[in-house]
Amino acid sequence: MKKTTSFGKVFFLLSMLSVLLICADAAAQFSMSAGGSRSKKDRKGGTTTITSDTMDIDIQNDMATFIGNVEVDDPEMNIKCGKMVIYLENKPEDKTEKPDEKAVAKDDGKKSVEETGSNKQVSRIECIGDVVIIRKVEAVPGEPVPEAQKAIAGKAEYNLRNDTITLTEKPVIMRGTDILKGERITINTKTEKMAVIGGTGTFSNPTKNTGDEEDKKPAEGSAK
Amino acid sequence: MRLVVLSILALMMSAGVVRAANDASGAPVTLGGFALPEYNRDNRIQFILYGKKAMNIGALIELDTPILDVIDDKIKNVNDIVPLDKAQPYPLGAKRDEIDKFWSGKKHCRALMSSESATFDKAARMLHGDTNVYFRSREMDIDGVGFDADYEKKTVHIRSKVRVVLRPDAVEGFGKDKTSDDAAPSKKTK
Repeated sequence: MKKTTSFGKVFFLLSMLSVLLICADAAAQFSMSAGGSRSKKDRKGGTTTITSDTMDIDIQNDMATFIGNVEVDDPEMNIKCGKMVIYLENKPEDKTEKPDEKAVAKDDGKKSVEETGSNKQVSRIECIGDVVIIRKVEAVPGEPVPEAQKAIAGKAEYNLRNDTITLTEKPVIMRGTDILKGERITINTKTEKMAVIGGTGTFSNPTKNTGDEEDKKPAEGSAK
Repeated sequence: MRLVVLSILALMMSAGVVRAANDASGAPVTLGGFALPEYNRDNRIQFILYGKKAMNIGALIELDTPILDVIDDKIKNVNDIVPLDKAQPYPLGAKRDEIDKFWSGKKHCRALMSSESATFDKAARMLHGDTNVYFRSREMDIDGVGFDADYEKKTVHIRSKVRVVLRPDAVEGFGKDKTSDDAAPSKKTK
């Protein structure tokens, strides 16, 4: 019994280790950071440009909806979709004084603190309809040119609160000849870990990967 | 006979007065350098509509170079509101210094929208424009062609050729908080 128990424990540990390796490898291959906190310093202060056919601005509810041939040019990626909704919310109040705030002397009590910066921030971005996300990769001198990474889905949601991108409606992630499909793919842009529900993957390097993976349980809880 | 004529004249004049009163649109008038504040049901100021020239035509006001100042809801003191009739929106993709300079001293302003011309419908409380429109806020800047602004719903619809520049601050806000919160637990794979 003792031998069986020991063998069982070893087998369990090996299984867990293999799952960890699979997930880490999948995440490493298909990591798609979408301007998340980890890469914010690399954004080089770049702005995000969005073009579309029409737009609706809801000032009261802090929403902006882009409709028709939506194209996003971000320092880290390009996005195309049929419709995009951007949600804003108030920035958390910071106890430390913000560098862009200039306190004005209150002689008569009428003037108040002047602000040049925004007190709003993007909390969530939804892309709906024929979503195509292409990650921009930069060639490093002396190293092989990294393969382009592309994600396709019927719907994509970028939640900046918990640094997750959730792809639904037949999502597919591709890098070179490597393909990952699933019913739902959730990517943590901070840890670059990935959770796939109902996923199948084909990888070009069979020695590194385990080949087709079906009905893989999510490594992390799916983001909403 | 004289009495009859006088009675008829009186009737005609009173009909004209009644018609004008029922119309409630005012007589045609052209204004220059005007500012039209709009309030909500709680008597809080919501917008200020500026214009170089305005012509009142019935229930409509034809505006030349209108500027719509959207007042921030947080403004408590009316003295914080500064006139923006001469504000010139910076071009799309302007440098940070120019943008900061524009927004300095405009704490009351939630957003600013300008156009070459527009029509204000007093009855529907809507502003329409067919020409180029420029929407500026601290989070994003928008250029487009044609717009419809609803005073009641506080919405703006831009009809075509939308081009938006999203400020990095608006997207990176979470990053500044997150980097200082690395101890936040993250679910690990098992």
